[in-house]
Amino acid sequence: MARSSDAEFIEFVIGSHQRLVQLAYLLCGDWHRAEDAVQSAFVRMYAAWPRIRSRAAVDLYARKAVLSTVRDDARRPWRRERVSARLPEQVSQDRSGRVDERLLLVSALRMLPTRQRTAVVLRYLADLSIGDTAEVMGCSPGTVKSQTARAITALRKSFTDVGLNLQDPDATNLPTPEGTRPWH
Amino acid sequence: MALIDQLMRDAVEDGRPLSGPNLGVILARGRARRRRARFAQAGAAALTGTAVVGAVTLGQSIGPDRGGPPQTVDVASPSATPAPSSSASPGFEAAVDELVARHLDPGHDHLSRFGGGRAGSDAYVVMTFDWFDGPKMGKSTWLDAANAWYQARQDGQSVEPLRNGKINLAWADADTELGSGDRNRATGADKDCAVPPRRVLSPPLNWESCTRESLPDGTTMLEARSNADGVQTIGVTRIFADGSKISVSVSTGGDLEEPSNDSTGIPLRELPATIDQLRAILLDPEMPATPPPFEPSAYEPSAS
Repeated sequence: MARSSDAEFIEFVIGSHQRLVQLAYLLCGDWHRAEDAVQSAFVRMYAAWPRIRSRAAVDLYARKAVLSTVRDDARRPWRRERVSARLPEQVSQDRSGRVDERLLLVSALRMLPTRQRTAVVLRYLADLSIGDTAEVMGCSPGTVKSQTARAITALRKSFTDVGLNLQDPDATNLPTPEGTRPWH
Repeated sequence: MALIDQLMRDAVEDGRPLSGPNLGVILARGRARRRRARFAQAGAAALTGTAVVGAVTLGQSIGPDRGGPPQTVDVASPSATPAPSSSASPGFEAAVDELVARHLDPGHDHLSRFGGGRAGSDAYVVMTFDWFDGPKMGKSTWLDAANAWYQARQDGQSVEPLRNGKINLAWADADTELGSGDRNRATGADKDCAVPPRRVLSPPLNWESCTRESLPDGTTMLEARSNADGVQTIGVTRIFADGSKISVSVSTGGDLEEPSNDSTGIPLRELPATIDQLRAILLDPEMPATPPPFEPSAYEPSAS
Protein backbone atom coordinates (compact mmCIF):
# COMPACT_ATOMS: atom_id res chain seq x y z
CA MET A 1 0.00 0.00 0.00
CA ALA A 2 1.26 3.42 -0.77
CA ARG A 3 2.57 5.25 2.24
CA SER A 4 0.31 8.11 1.73
CA SER A 5 -1.50 8.90 4.91
CA ASP A 6 -0.68 11.97 6.86
CA ALA A 7 -0.86 10.00 10.08
CA GLU A 8 1.98 7.77 8.94
CA PHE A 9 3.98 10.74 7.80
CA ILE A 10 3.50 12.57 11.09
CA GLU A 11 4.49 9.46 12.97
CA PHE A 12 7.64 9.23 10.87
CA VAL A 13 8.48 12.90 11.37
CA ILE A 14 8.16 12.68 15.12
CA GLY A 15 10.10 9.44 15.29
CA SER A 16 12.98 10.49 13.08
CA HIS A 17 13.28 14.22 13.71
CA GLN A 18 15.93 14.05 16.40
CA ARG A 19 18.32 11.69 14.69
CA LEU A 20 18.00 13.55 11.40
CA VAL A 21 18.73 16.87 13.08
CA GLN A 22 21.77 15.27 14.70
CA LEU A 23 22.89 13.96 11.34
CA ALA A 24 22.40 17.38 9.78
CA TYR A 25 24.27 19.02 12.62
CA LEU A 26 27.38 16.96 12.03
CA LEU A 27 27.10 17.67 8.34
CA CYS A 28 26.76 21.43 8.70
CA GLY A 29 28.05 22.19 12.21
CA ASP A 30 25.18 24.47 13.19
CA TRP A 31 22.08 23.48 15.13
CA HIS A 32 19.86 26.17 13.62
CA ARG A 33 20.82 25.27 10.10
CA ALA A 34 20.45 21.61 10.94
CA GLU A 35 16.88 22.10 12.13
CA ASP A 36 16.05 24.21 9.09
CA ALA A 37 17.55 21.62 6.79
CA VAL A 38 15.59 18.80 8.36
CA GLN A 39 12.38 20.76 8.18
CA SER A 40 12.99 21.41 4.49
CA ALA A 41 13.79 17.75 3.99
CA PHE A 42 10.51 16.76 5.61
CA VAL A 43 8.66 19.14 3.30
CA ARG A 44 10.31 17.46 0.33
CA MET A 45 9.48 14.08 1.75
CA TYR A 46 5.84 14.95 2.20
CA ALA A 47 5.52 15.63 -1.50
CA ALA A 48 7.04 12.26 -2.29
CA TRP A 49 5.44 10.35 0.56
CA PRO A 50 2.79 8.53 -1.51
CA ARG A 51 5.54 7.06 -3.64
CA ILE A 52 7.76 5.80 -0.84
CA ARG A 53 6.72 2.28 -0.17
CA SER A 54 8.83 0.73 2.56
CA ARG A 55 10.29 1.70 5.86
CA ALA A 56 13.82 1.10 4.66
CA ALA A 57 13.17 3.26 1.65
CA VAL A 58 11.75 5.97 3.87
CA ASP A 59 14.86 6.06 6.03
CA LEU A 60 17.17 6.17 3.06
CA TYR A 61 15.06 8.81 1.40
CA ALA A 62 15.07 10.90 4.55
CA ARG A 63 18.85 10.81 4.80
CA LYS A 64 19.18 11.64 1.13
CA ALA A 65 16.81 14.54 1.56
CA VAL A 66 18.70 15.86 4.56
CA LEU A 67 22.04 15.48 2.83
CA SER A 68 20.75 17.18 -0.27
CA THR A 69 19.23 20.03 1.70
CA VAL A 70 22.38 20.62 3.72
CA ARG A 71 24.41 20.57 0.54
CA ASP A 72 22.09 22.97 -1.25
CA ASP A 73 22.12 25.27 1.74
CA ALA A 74 25.90 25.28 1.89
CA ARG A 75 26.04 26.25 -1.78
CA ARG A 76 24.20 29.47 -1.17
CA PRO A 77 26.65 32.29 -1.57
CA TRP A 78 26.25 33.67 1.92
CA ARG A 79 26.90 30.31 3.45
CA ARG A 80 29.48 28.94 1.08
CA GLU A 81 31.99 26.91 3.00
CA ARG A 82 35.64 27.59 2.81
CA VAL A 83 38.05 24.82 3.65
CA SER A 84 40.70 26.02 6.02
CA ALA A 85 44.08 24.56 6.83
CA ARG A 86 43.65 25.39 10.47
CA LEU A 87 41.17 24.39 13.06
CA PRO A 88 38.92 27.21 14.16
CA GLU A 89 40.24 28.91 17.22
CA GLN A 90 37.11 28.38 19.21
CA VAL A 91 37.94 24.77 19.92
CA SER A 92 37.63 25.17 23.60
CA GLN A 93 39.23 23.93 26.72
CA ASP A 94 37.31 23.34 29.87
CA ARG A 95 38.42 24.64 33.23
CA SER A 96 40.90 21.85 33.63
CA GLY A 97 42.46 22.85 30.37
CA ARG A 98 41.20 19.86 28.54
CA VAL A 99 40.27 20.20 24.95
CA ASP A 100 36.62 19.47 24.45
CA GLU A 101 36.86 16.48 22.19
CA ARG A 102 33.31 16.88 21.00
CA LEU A 103 33.85 20.42 19.81
CA LEU A 104 37.14 19.39 18.33
CA LEU A 105 35.41 16.67 16.39
CA VAL A 106 32.71 19.01 15.12
CA SER A 107 35.29 21.58 14.11
CA ALA A 108 37.45 18.97 12.46
CA LEU A 109 34.46 17.64 10.57
CA ARG A 110 33.72 21.09 9.25
CA MET A 111 37.20 21.26 7.79
CA LEU A 112 36.67 18.12 5.75
CA PRO A 113 35.57 18.30 2.15
CA THR A 114 31.85 17.67 1.89
CA ARG A 115 32.04 14.14 0.54
CA GLN A 116 34.53 13.00 3.14
CA ARG A 117 32.46 14.53 5.90
CA THR A 118 29.28 12.98 4.55
CA ALA A 119 30.85 9.57 4.24
CA VAL A 120 32.26 9.49 7.73
CA VAL A 121 29.11 10.87 9.37
CA LEU A 122 26.83 8.46 7.58
CA ARG A 123 29.12 5.55 8.41
CA TYR A 124 29.81 6.35 12.05
CA LEU A 125 26.89 8.38 13.28
CA ALA A 126 24.08 6.95 11.20
CA ASP A 127 25.65 3.49 11.29
CA LEU A 128 24.97 2.94 7.64
CA SER A 129 26.62 0.14 5.77
CA ILE A 130 28.97 0.96 2.96
CA GLY A 131 26.28 0.02 0.49
CA ASP A 132 23.63 2.21 2.10
CA THR A 133 26.08 5.07 2.42
CA ALA A 134 26.83 4.74 -1.27
CA GLU A 135 23.12 4.76 -2.00
CA VAL A 136 22.55 7.91 0.01
CA MET A 137 25.58 9.66 -1.43
CA GLY A 138 24.87 8.51 -4.93
CA CYS A 139 28.32 7.06 -5.49
CA SER A 140 30.02 3.68 -5.59
CA PRO A 141 30.96 1.66 -2.50
CA GLY A 142 34.57 2.09 -3.45
CA THR A 143 34.20 5.83 -3.30
CA VAL A 144 32.62 5.55 0.13
CA LYS A 145 35.56 3.51 1.35
CA SER A 146 38.13 5.91 0.00
CA GLN A 147 36.30 9.01 1.20
CA THR A 148 35.84 7.50 4.64
CA ALA A 149 39.49 6.52 4.88
CA ARG A 150 40.61 9.99 3.92
CA ALA A 151 38.22 11.52 6.38
CA ILE A 152 39.50 9.35 9.20
CA THR A 153 43.06 10.21 8.33
CA ALA A 154 42.26 13.91 8.37
CA LEU A 155 40.33 13.67 11.62
CA ARG A 156 43.11 11.71 13.23
CA LYS A 157 45.58 14.36 12.19
CA SER A 158 43.40 17.09 13.66
CA PHE A 159 43.36 15.27 16.94
CA THR A 160 47.04 14.51 16.83
CA ASP A 161 47.78 18.18 16.29
CA VAL A 162 46.33 18.96 19.70
CA GLY A 163 47.94 16.02 21.41
CA LEU A 164 45.07 13.57 21.22
CA ASN A 165 44.91 10.15 19.76
CA LEU A 166 41.64 9.48 18.06
CA GLN A 167 42.12 5.76 18.03
CA ASP A 168 43.14 5.45 21.64
CA PRO A 169 40.22 4.51 23.89
CA ASP A 170 42.12 6.17 26.73
CA ALA A 171 42.21 9.44 24.90
CA THR A 172 39.67 10.72 27.35
CA ASN A 173 42.53 10.85 29.86
CA LEU A 174 43.79 13.87 28.13
CA PRO A 175 47.14 15.43 28.73
CA THR A 176 46.75 18.73 30.45
CA PRO A 177 48.71 21.70 29.25
CA GLU A 178 51.55 22.80 31.41
CA GLY A 179 50.58 25.14 34.17
CA THR A 180 47.03 24.00 34.24
CA ARG A 181 45.85 22.30 37.34
CA PRO A 182 43.78 19.23 36.72
CA TRP A 183 40.70 18.55 38.78
CA HIS A 184 42.00 15.23 40.05
CA MET B 1 37.24 3.58 15.24
CA ALA B 2 35.02 3.10 18.19
CA LEU B 3 36.05 6.41 19.56
CA ILE B 4 34.95 8.26 16.47
CA ASP B 5 31.41 6.97 16.55
CA GLN B 6 31.22 7.48 20.30
CA LEU B 7 32.51 11.01 19.95
CA MET B 8 29.99 11.73 17.25
CA ARG B 9 27.17 10.53 19.43
CA ASP B 10 28.48 12.51 22.38
CA ALA B 11 28.75 15.59 20.21
CA VAL B 12 25.15 15.43 19.11
CA GLU B 13 23.62 14.12 22.31
CA ASP B 14 25.36 16.56 24.59
CA GLY B 15 24.70 19.39 22.22
CA ARG B 16 21.84 21.77 22.04
CA PRO B 17 18.56 20.50 23.38
CA LEU B 18 16.35 19.76 20.43
CA SER B 19 12.97 21.20 19.94
CA GLY B 20 10.32 19.10 18.30
CA PRO B 21 9.42 19.29 14.65
CA ASN B 22 7.04 22.02 13.64
CA LEU B 23 4.41 19.77 12.15
CA GLY B 24 2.12 22.60 11.18
CA VAL B 25 4.74 24.24 9.01
CA ILE B 26 5.98 20.97 7.56
CA LEU B 27 2.52 19.83 6.54
CA ALA B 28 1.46 23.21 5.21
CA ARG B 29 4.57 23.60 3.07
CA GLY B 30 4.52 19.94 2.07
CA ARG B 31 0.97 20.27 0.83
CA ALA B 32 1.82 23.42 -1.05
CA ARG B 33 4.77 21.64 -2.65
CA ARG B 34 2.63 18.67 -3.55
CA ARG B 35 0.03 20.96 -5.05
CA ARG B 36 2.64 22.80 -7.09
CA ALA B 37 3.89 19.50 -8.43
CA ARG B 38 0.35 18.52 -9.31
CA PHE B 39 -0.25 21.80 -11.04
CA ALA B 40 3.01 21.42 -12.91
CA GLN B 41 1.91 18.01 -14.08
CA ALA B 42 -1.45 19.35 -15.14
CA GLY B 43 0.34 22.20 -16.86
CA ALA B 44 2.56 19.76 -18.69
CA ALA B 45 -0.49 17.86 -19.85
CA ALA B 46 -2.11 21.07 -20.97
CA LEU B 47 1.06 22.12 -22.76
CA THR B 48 1.25 18.79 -24.50
CA GLY B 49 -2.32 19.15 -25.60
CA THR B 50 -1.70 22.69 -26.72
CA ALA B 51 1.36 21.55 -28.60
CA VAL B 52 -0.64 18.91 -30.43
CA VAL B 53 -3.36 21.37 -31.27
CA GLY B 54 -0.70 23.84 -32.31
CA ALA B 55 0.93 21.26 -34.51
CA VAL B 56 -2.37 20.46 -36.12
CA THR B 57 -3.08 24.12 -36.66
CA LEU B 58 0.40 24.69 -37.99
CA GLY B 59 0.08 21.72 -40.26
CA GLN B 60 -3.16 23.06 -41.59
CA SER B 61 -1.78 26.56 -41.94
CA ILE B 62 1.17 25.38 -43.96
CA GLY B 63 -0.86 23.00 -46.03
CA PRO B 64 -1.14 23.11 -49.83
CA ASP B 65 -3.49 26.05 -49.85
CA ARG B 66 -0.87 28.12 -47.99
CA GLY B 67 1.83 27.24 -50.34
CA GLY B 68 3.61 24.78 -48.12
CA PRO B 69 4.44 21.22 -49.00
CA PRO B 70 1.61 18.71 -48.88
CA GLN B 71 1.48 17.09 -45.43
CA THR B 72 -0.42 14.40 -43.72
CA VAL B 73 -1.22 15.39 -40.15
CA ASP B 74 -1.76 12.62 -37.68
CA VAL B 75 -3.77 13.97 -34.81
CA ALA B 76 -2.75 12.22 -31.63
CA SER B 77 -4.21 12.67 -28.22
CA PRO B 78 -2.00 14.22 -25.55
CA SER B 79 0.43 11.66 -24.23
CA ALA B 80 0.63 12.97 -20.72
CA THR B 81 -1.88 11.65 -18.29
CA PRO B 82 -4.09 14.41 -17.02
CA ALA B 83 -3.93 15.11 -13.34
CA PRO B 84 -6.54 13.18 -11.44
CA SER B 85 -9.52 14.96 -10.14
CA SER B 86 -8.77 16.73 -6.92
CA SER B 87 -12.06 15.73 -5.48
CA ALA B 88 -13.79 12.42 -5.12
CA SER B 89 -17.25 13.88 -5.10
CA PRO B 90 -17.18 17.64 -5.10
CA GLY B 91 -20.94 17.89 -5.01
CA PHE B 92 -21.17 15.97 -1.79
CA GLU B 93 -18.31 17.84 -0.15
CA ALA B 94 -19.50 21.24 -1.23
CA ALA B 95 -22.96 20.49 0.03
CA VAL B 96 -21.68 19.38 3.41
CA ASP B 97 -19.31 22.33 3.61
CA GLU B 98 -22.18 24.68 3.02
CA LEU B 99 -24.46 22.89 5.43
CA VAL B 100 -21.95 22.95 8.27
CA ALA B 101 -21.14 26.59 7.61
CA ARG B 102 -24.82 27.48 7.55
CA HIS B 103 -25.18 26.26 11.11
CA LEU B 104 -21.81 27.20 12.59
CA ASP B 105 -20.26 29.93 10.51
CA PRO B 106 -22.78 31.66 8.25
CA GLY B 107 -20.35 34.45 7.45
CA HIS B 108 -17.66 31.96 6.39
CA ASP B 109 -15.21 33.74 8.64
CA HIS B 110 -13.79 30.93 10.73
CA LEU B 111 -14.45 27.52 9.31
CA SER B 112 -12.21 25.75 6.87
CA ARG B 113 -12.34 22.11 5.99
CA PHE B 114 -9.03 20.50 6.72
CA GLY B 115 -9.73 17.34 4.83
CA GLY B 116 -11.27 13.99 5.35
CA GLY B 117 -10.57 10.45 6.27
CA ARG B 118 -11.80 7.04 5.43
CA ALA B 119 -11.12 3.87 7.35
CA GLY B 120 -11.71 0.61 5.59
CA SER B 121 -13.97 0.99 2.61
CA ASP B 122 -17.05 2.87 3.63
CA ALA B 123 -17.09 1.92 7.26
CA TYR B 124 -16.03 5.19 8.74
CA VAL B 125 -15.71 8.48 6.98
CA VAL B 126 -14.73 11.71 8.58
CA MET B 127 -14.68 15.25 7.34
CA THR B 128 -12.52 17.50 9.44
CA PHE B 129 -12.91 21.21 9.81
CA ASP B 130 -10.68 23.69 11.52
CA TRP B 131 -11.89 26.72 13.31
CA PHE B 132 -9.74 29.80 12.96
CA ASP B 133 -9.74 32.90 15.02
CA GLY B 134 -7.49 34.57 12.53
CA PRO B 135 -7.48 34.42 8.75
CA LYS B 136 -8.55 31.12 7.32
CA MET B 137 -6.30 29.00 5.21
CA GLY B 138 -7.27 28.38 1.65
CA LYS B 139 -9.70 25.91 0.28
CA SER B 140 -9.29 22.29 1.02
CA THR B 141 -9.91 19.24 -1.00
CA TRP B 142 -9.93 15.50 -0.67
CA LEU B 143 -6.87 13.87 -2.04
CA ASP B 144 -4.58 10.95 -2.03
CA ALA B 145 -4.92 7.74 -0.18
CA ALA B 146 -7.05 4.76 -0.76
CA ASN B 147 -8.14 2.81 2.27
CA ALA B 148 -6.28 5.05 4.63
CA TRP B 149 -6.69 8.18 6.56
CA TYR B 150 -5.96 11.15 4.52
CA GLN B 151 -6.28 14.82 4.86
CA ALA B 152 -5.26 17.68 2.71
CA ARG B 153 -5.50 21.37 2.75
CA GLN B 154 -4.50 23.24 -0.31
CA ASP B 155 -3.36 26.28 1.48
CA GLY B 156 -0.42 27.31 -0.60
CA GLN B 157 0.20 30.04 1.88
CA SER B 158 3.40 30.89 3.57
CA VAL B 159 1.69 31.79 6.78
CA GLU B 160 1.70 29.25 9.53
CA PRO B 161 -1.60 27.55 10.11
CA LEU B 162 -3.43 28.45 13.24
CA ARG B 163 -5.74 25.58 13.78
CA ASN B 164 -7.37 26.75 16.90
CA GLY B 165 -10.32 24.46 17.05
CA LYS B 166 -11.43 21.18 15.72
CA ILE B 167 -14.67 19.94 14.25
CA ASN B 168 -15.14 16.41 13.01
CA LEU B 169 -18.13 15.12 11.14
CA ALA B 170 -18.35 11.38 10.69
CA TRP B 171 -20.46 8.72 9.06
CA ALA B 172 -20.15 5.17 10.30
CA ASP B 173 -21.99 1.95 9.65
CA ALA B 174 -23.70 -0.07 12.34
CA ASP B 175 -20.69 -2.25 13.05
CA THR B 176 -18.14 0.52 13.31
CA GLU B 177 -17.36 2.28 16.54
CA LEU B 178 -16.85 5.99 16.52
CA GLY B 179 -14.59 6.24 19.52
CA SER B 180 -11.03 5.16 19.93
CA GLY B 181 -10.79 5.14 23.70
CA ASP B 182 -12.02 2.92 26.46
CA ARG B 183 -15.19 3.46 28.32
CA ASN B 184 -14.73 6.20 30.87
CA ARG B 185 -14.19 4.33 34.11
CA ALA B 186 -15.23 7.23 36.27
CA THR B 187 -18.49 8.05 34.57
CA GLY B 188 -19.26 4.97 32.54
CA ALA B 189 -19.85 7.19 29.55
CA ASP B 190 -19.85 5.31 26.30
CA LYS B 191 -16.71 5.81 24.27
CA ASP B 192 -18.87 5.53 21.20
CA CYS B 193 -20.99 8.49 22.16
CA ALA B 194 -19.57 10.71 19.45
CA VAL B 195 -16.74 10.96 17.00
CA PRO B 196 -13.53 12.08 18.75
CA PRO B 197 -12.61 15.59 17.76
CA ARG B 198 -8.95 14.78 17.75
CA ARG B 199 -7.46 12.07 15.71
CA VAL B 200 -3.76 11.93 15.10
CA LEU B 201 -1.39 10.96 17.86
CA SER B 202 -3.88 12.07 20.42
CA PRO B 203 -4.71 10.27 23.56
CA PRO B 204 -8.12 8.67 23.26
CA LEU B 205 -10.92 10.86 24.40
CA ASN B 206 -13.13 9.53 27.16
CA TRP B 207 -16.41 11.33 27.21
CA GLU B 208 -17.34 12.43 30.69
CA SER B 209 -21.04 12.25 30.02
CA CYS B 210 -23.27 10.72 27.39
CA THR B 211 -27.02 11.19 27.28
CA ARG B 212 -29.45 9.35 25.02
CA GLU B 213 -32.72 10.59 23.58
CA SER B 214 -35.17 8.83 21.30
CA LEU B 215 -36.65 11.08 18.66
CA PRO B 216 -40.13 10.78 17.17
CA ASP B 217 -38.74 9.87 13.78
CA GLY B 218 -37.27 6.69 15.19
CA THR B 219 -33.69 7.88 15.34
CA THR B 220 -31.69 8.19 18.51
CA MET B 221 -29.69 11.22 19.50
CA LEU B 222 -26.64 10.98 21.77
CA GLU B 223 -25.06 14.00 23.38
CA ALA B 224 -21.50 13.79 24.67
CA ARG B 225 -19.50 16.17 26.76
CA SER B 226 -15.94 16.27 28.04
CA ASN B 227 -13.69 18.74 29.72
CA ALA B 228 -10.67 16.50 30.06
CA ASP B 229 -7.29 18.17 30.34
CA GLY B 230 -8.88 21.55 30.10
CA VAL B 231 -10.04 20.90 26.56
CA GLN B 232 -13.74 21.47 26.16
CA THR B 233 -15.41 19.07 23.78
CA ILE B 234 -19.00 18.38 22.87
CA GLY B 235 -20.43 15.93 20.40
CA VAL B 236 -23.73 14.75 19.04
CA THR B 237 -24.52 11.49 17.29
CA ARG B 238 -27.64 10.55 15.42
CA ILE B 239 -28.26 6.82 15.14
CA PHE B 240 -30.62 5.60 12.44
CA ALA B 241 -32.87 2.58 12.56
CA ASP B 242 -30.37 0.40 10.70
CA GLY B 243 -27.65 1.27 13.22
CA SER B 244 -25.71 3.56 10.96
CA LYS B 245 -24.86 6.91 12.42
CA ILE B 246 -23.70 10.41 11.78
CA SER B 247 -21.74 12.21 14.42
CA VAL B 248 -20.29 15.65 14.85
CA SER B 249 -18.06 16.98 17.59
CA VAL B 250 -16.39 20.27 18.38
CA SER B 251 -13.39 20.90 20.58
CA THR B 252 -11.36 23.82 21.79
CA GLY B 253 -8.23 21.78 21.16
CA GLY B 254 -6.29 21.06 18.00
CA ASP B 255 -5.82 17.55 16.78
CA LEU B 256 -2.18 16.75 17.12
CA GLU B 257 -1.32 16.84 20.76
CA GLU B 258 -2.48 18.20 24.00
CA PRO B 259 -2.93 21.95 23.89
CA SER B 260 0.18 22.68 25.88
CA ASN B 261 2.29 20.98 23.25
CA ASP B 262 0.18 21.83 20.28
CA SER B 263 2.41 23.64 17.87
CA THR B 264 -0.34 23.99 15.35
CA GLY B 265 -2.26 26.74 16.98
CA ILE B 266 -3.64 28.37 20.04
CA PRO B 267 -6.49 26.45 21.59
CA LEU B 268 -9.78 28.21 21.64
CA ARG B 269 -10.95 29.40 25.02
CA GLU B 270 -14.57 28.79 24.24
CA LEU B 271 -16.29 26.27 22.09
CA PRO B 272 -17.26 27.70 18.72
CA ALA B 273 -20.58 25.87 18.74
CA THR B 274 -23.28 24.64 21.07
CA ILE B 275 -24.93 21.28 21.40
CA ASP B 276 -28.03 22.73 19.81
CA GLN B 277 -26.07 23.85 16.78
CA LEU B 278 -24.58 20.40 16.41
CA ARG B 279 -28.00 18.83 16.70
CA ALA B 280 -29.25 21.20 14.04
CA ILE B 281 -26.51 20.02 11.69
CA LEU B 282 -27.48 16.40 12.09
CA LEU B 283 -31.21 17.07 11.88
CA ASP B 284 -30.88 19.24 8.81
CA PRO B 285 -32.92 17.55 6.05
CA GLU B 286 -30.12 18.24 3.61
CA MET B 287 -27.57 16.31 5.65
CA PRO B 288 -26.64 13.19 3.67
CA ALA B 289 -27.36 10.07 5.69
CA THR B 290 -24.51 8.21 4.04
CA PRO B 291 -21.07 9.27 2.91
CA PRO B 292 -20.20 9.45 -0.76
CA PRO B 293 -19.46 6.11 -2.40
CA PHE B 294 -15.90 4.98 -2.17
CA GLU B 295 -14.07 5.37 -5.44
CA PRO B 296 -10.50 4.19 -5.00
CA SER B 297 -9.43 5.41 -8.39
CA ALA B 298 -10.41 8.92 -7.43
CA TYR B 299 -8.00 8.84 -4.52
CA GLU B 300 -4.96 7.53 -6.33
CA PRO B 301 -2.13 9.92 -5.63
CA SER B 302 -0.84 11.82 -8.56
CA ALA B 303 2.82 11.60 -9.37
CA SER B 304 4.62 14.49 -7.81
